[in-house]
Amino acid sequence: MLFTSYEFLLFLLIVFVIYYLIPSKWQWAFLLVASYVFYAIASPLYLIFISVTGVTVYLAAVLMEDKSNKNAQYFKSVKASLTREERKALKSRQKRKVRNIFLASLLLNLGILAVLKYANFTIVNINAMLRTFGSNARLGRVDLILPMGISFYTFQAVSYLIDVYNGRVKAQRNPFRLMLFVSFFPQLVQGPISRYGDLSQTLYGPHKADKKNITFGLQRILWGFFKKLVIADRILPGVKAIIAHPGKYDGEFAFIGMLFYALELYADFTGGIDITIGTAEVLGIRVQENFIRPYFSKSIKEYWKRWHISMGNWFTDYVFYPLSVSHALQKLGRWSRKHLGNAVGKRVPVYLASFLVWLATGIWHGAAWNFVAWGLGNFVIIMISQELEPLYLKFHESTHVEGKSWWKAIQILRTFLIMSCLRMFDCYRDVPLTFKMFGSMFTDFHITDLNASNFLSLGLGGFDYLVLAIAVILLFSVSMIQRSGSVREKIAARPYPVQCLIWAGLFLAVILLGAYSVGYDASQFIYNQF
Amino acid sequence: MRKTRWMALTAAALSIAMLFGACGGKSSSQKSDTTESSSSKSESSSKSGKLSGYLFSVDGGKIGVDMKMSDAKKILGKEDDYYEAASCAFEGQKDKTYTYADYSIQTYPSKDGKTDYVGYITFTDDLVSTEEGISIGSTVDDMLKAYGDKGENSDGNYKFTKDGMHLLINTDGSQVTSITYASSTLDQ
Amino acid sequence: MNKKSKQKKGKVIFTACFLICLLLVLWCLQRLVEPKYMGSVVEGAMIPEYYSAEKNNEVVFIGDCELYENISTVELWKKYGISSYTRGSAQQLIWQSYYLAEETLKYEHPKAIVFNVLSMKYSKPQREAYNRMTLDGMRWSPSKVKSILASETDGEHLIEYVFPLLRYHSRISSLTSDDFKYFSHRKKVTFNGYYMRVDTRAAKNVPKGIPLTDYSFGKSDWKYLDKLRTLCEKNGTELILVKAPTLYPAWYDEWDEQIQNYADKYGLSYYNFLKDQDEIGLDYSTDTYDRGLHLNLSGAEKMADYFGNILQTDHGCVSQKGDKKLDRYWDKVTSRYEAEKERQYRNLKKYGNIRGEKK
Repeated sequence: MLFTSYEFLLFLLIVFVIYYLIPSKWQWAFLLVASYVFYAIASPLYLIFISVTGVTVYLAAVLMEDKSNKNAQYFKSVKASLTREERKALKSRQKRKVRNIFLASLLLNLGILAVLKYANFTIVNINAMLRTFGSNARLGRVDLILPMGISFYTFQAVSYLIDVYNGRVKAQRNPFRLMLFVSFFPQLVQGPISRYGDLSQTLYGPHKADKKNITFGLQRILWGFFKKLVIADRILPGVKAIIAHPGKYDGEFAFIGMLFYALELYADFTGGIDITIGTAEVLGIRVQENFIRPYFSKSIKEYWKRWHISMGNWFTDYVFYPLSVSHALQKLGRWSRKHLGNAVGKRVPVYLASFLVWLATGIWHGAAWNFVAWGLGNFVIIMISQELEPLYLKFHESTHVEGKSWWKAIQILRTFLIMSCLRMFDCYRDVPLTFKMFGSMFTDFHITDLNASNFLSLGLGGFDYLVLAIAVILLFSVSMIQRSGSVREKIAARPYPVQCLIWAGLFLAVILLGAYSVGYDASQFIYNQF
Repeated sequence: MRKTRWMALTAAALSIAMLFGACGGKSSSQKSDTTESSSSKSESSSKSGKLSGYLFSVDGGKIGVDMKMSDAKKILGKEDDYYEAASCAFEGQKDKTYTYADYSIQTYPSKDGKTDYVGYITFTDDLVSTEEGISIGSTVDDMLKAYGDKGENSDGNYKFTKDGMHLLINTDGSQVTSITYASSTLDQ
Repeated sequence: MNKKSKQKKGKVIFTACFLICLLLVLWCLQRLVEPKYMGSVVEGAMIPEYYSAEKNNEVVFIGDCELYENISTVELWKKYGISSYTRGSAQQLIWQSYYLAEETLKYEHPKAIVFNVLSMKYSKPQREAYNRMTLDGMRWSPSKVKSILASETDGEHLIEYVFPLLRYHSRISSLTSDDFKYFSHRKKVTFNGYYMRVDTRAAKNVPKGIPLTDYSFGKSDWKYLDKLRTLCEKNGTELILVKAPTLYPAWYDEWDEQIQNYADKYGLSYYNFLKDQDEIGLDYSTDTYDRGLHLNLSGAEKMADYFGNILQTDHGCVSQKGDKKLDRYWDKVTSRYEAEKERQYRNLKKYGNIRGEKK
C-alpha cells in the first residue's frame, strides 16, 4: 500500500478511529493486528518472513537474558570457591554460551536478508567471473521473494538483539509486543530504523486521545503529502526523462538532472518520513526524526548526522564502533604503527573500519554495483575531508571566514553539490555511465542549451516549473523557520483564523496541485482538447 | 520455559514455511527494497524499437508488430490504399490501415496519440509467406511443422505467441485460410 | 456565560463557517476543472441531457456512437410521432448499457429498448476517458455505483467519481474560456440523444476485418446481455437488438450468427442493418461523414425512416402526436434541430467545417 494511495488514507482513518475507541490497554495489540493487515495487503507471504524475524529475535533475546541471569547467579554462588584463573575461565565459558545464542539469531536474520536480497547479485557476478576466465559454466538465477521493507525491519530487529546482548535494554517478555516493535506499520516501508529503547517508551501505550498529538500528527501527515505529491511526484517525469536518455541529456542537463534528483529524493524520502512520524504522533507514539535539514549541512560529516539519521547511527553504533574496538583492528593498528609509522599507522584501523562501514552501507541500499560505488564514494570523500581538516583549520585561522554567512553559504553549496554528485550513482544505476555523465558536466556543458524549449522537452510544462518553484521556496522557508523551533508550534501560536487559513491552504495545494491520479498519465491527453 | 518451548516450535514452523514461501518472487525487477526514491522503481517496458517475435520479411527488410509505422514505411514504401478510422469520441486517436499489394497493416496510436505503431499485419493473398515459409493455402501439416503444436487452437484457428506477440493462423481444417501478425497490445 | 466558554462557542461557530466555506471552495474548484465537453469533444455531455428531457418515450436507444449518430430521433418523431431518446455515449460498454437501462426504467417505461450489439466485442474495461464520458454524467444511484465498479480500469478509483476534483485537478493548468463560460450550465449537444453531423466524407478503401482465431464473445458480455433481457422482461419492455449499418469496425459473420442464435432462442428481434443497406437507401458516398464509420444527418434520417416503419409495423409503436406536452416538447427540439442543421451547413460552406473554425 503506497502512502499516497486512497487505500492507505482509508486504512489510517479506520486505524485511528478504532485505536481510540477500544480500551487503551489493548491499543498496542490492535496496532499489531493493523501492522500485520498492512503487511498482508502487500503480500500475505511476507508475514511469514517478518514473523520468523520477530519470533527468532524474541527467543534469542529471552534466552540470552535468562542465560545471563542464570550465569550471574551461578557465578555469585561459586565465586568464592574459585581461583582467579578459574573465575576468568568460567566467565569466558558463560559468555561464549550467550554469544552463541546471539550469533545464531544474528546470522539467521542477516542470512535471510542476504539470501533474499543478494543471491542473484552474487550469481550474476560469479557468472561474470566465469565468463572472464573463459568458462562456459553458468549458475542459474533464482526466483526469490523480496519482502517489502526487509532491510528496515531486519536492521531494527537486529538492533534490539544487539542491545539486549550488550545489556543496554531488557528483553521484551511478551512476544507479541516484540512483534509490534518489529512490524510497526508506519515504519515498514521507509523506516526510520528505531531503537527499542526509544520506541518502546511510547509504543505500548496506553494512549488517550490527545488533541495536540492528533492535530500535530495530522498536520505532519499533510506536510508529508505536500512534499511527496506536489514536489516529488511532479518533478519525477523530468528526472526520468534525463535518466532514460543519457545520450540526449548530457552535459548541462546531467547537471540539471542531478539537481532535480536531489530535490525529488529529498521531497519523496522526507515526505514519507513525515507521514510515518505524523501517523505515529496521531497514535501518541514518538518516532525519532530521520532528517534535520540535511541540505543545510556545511560538511559531509554534518550531512550524515542530518540525512537518514537512523541508518547512519545504526552503522556507527553497530558496525563502526565495534569494528574500531575489535581485537583484530586493534592488532592491525599496532602492526601498522610499528611498520608504517605513527602518522599512517594510526589511520589504518580507522580507515579500514570506515571503508567496511561504507561498503556495508552501499550494499544495504541495494544489490547492485552502483550502490557499492556510491557507498565507497562516500568513504573516499569523508577520508579526503578528514585529511584536509588541518588545512581547513589553518585557512579559517588565517582568513577568519568561519561563521561568516557568505562562507557558510559556500560550505553549504559545496556539500550539497558533492553529495548530489555522489547520488548520481543512484540516479543512473550504472557505474560507467555515471562517471561518463559526471565527466560530461565539465566537458559538454553548454549554457545556451539551458533554454525553455529543452526544459519543456523533459515532460514538464511551464505550470509544473512554476508550481515547483513556489513549492521549493515554501520548503526552503519552512526549513529556515525550523532553525528556531517547531513550525507547527509557531503556527499554533497564531490566531485561530490564521491557523485555519494556513492548513486549509496547504490542504488545497495538495488536492489541486498534487501529481496524483490518472490525470497525470500521458495517455489522458484527450482533455487537452476541451 | 513452556512459553519459550512454544515460541521455539513456532519459530521452527515459520522457518519451514519461509523456505517454501521464499521461491517464486519477481527477483529480476526487485533490485532494492530500500529504494529511497520512486524514480528508481522499475519502469514498465516502453517500446524499444527492437523487433521481436515472429517477423515478416518483405522488400528486403523485416517488419514486425509494435514497431513504429514510420520505420516500417521506410522498408515498405508508399501504400496502395490508406484508410483512417477515428475512434468513437475524438480526433487524434485513429486506427489507420495501409493496404499494400499482398498484405495490409493496421496501426494503433501511442498513449499520447503522437506515434503510430504496427498493430496487425494481415496477408491478403497467397503471394507472400511468413519467414517460416507458410502462406495462405499451405497445408495444416506444413503449418504445424513450422510452428509446432503448442499454439492455442480454437476450431482449427491457431494462435502462436512469441515474445509477447501473436501469429494468428486460421484454417479450414486442411489449409491455411488467413495469416495475421498481431500485437498483444490490442488484445481485448 | 463566562469569557472562556464564549471564546469556545466563537471558535466552534468560526470552525463550522470555515468548513462550509472550504467545502464551497472545493465545490467551485471541482466545477471549474471538470471537463465541460462543449468544444470539439462533446460526447461527454450526452448522458446528463436525459434528465431534463421529456420522459414519456415509446423507444429508448441504448448504446454507443453507432446509435447516437446513426438514427435521428427527431426524424422518428416527425415522420412517425414516435418519441424516443438515445442514451448513448462514446464506446459505451455492455455493462454500462445495462446499468443505464436499469436507471432509465426507474424514470419511464418505454415500449421498447433498442440495444446496439457492437459492444459485445468488448469483454473488459477499455479506457478511462470513455468511462468518464459515460459515467460522470449519470445521476448518483446504485446503478451508477455498480456501473463504475464494473468499468474501472487500472488506476481508477470509485472515490474519484464521487469527488471528480481528485481526477480532474490536473486540468487546473489547462483551463480554457469554456471552463468559465460553462461553469454553471451546459448547452445541449444532442437532440434527444441524437448527435448531428451534416458533413460528408465518402467511404473509400474500407479495409476488411482482420480474421480472428476466436470469435466467441466474453462471459461478461453474455452475462450482461442476459441481465438486459431479463430486466426488460420484468419491466414489460421489449428488447430489440440491432447492428448499425457502419462499414468499420468489422462485424463478423460469426458474431452475427451468435447474436441471431441468441435472439432466436429468446424470441427477440434482431436487425442487422448492414444487410439492409440497399433497402434503407444508404449511399456511402453521401450518407457518411467519416468514410463509413458513422452516418451523417442524411444517413441518420434514412435510418430513422426505415427503422421507424419497423417499430410501427412490427413492434406496435404508436404515434404520440396529439399529446400536448409531447407536441410542445418536440416542437422545441425540432426547431433547435433545424437551427443546428442550418448552422452546420452555413459553417460548412463558409469555413469548410461544421464548427465554424477558421483555418
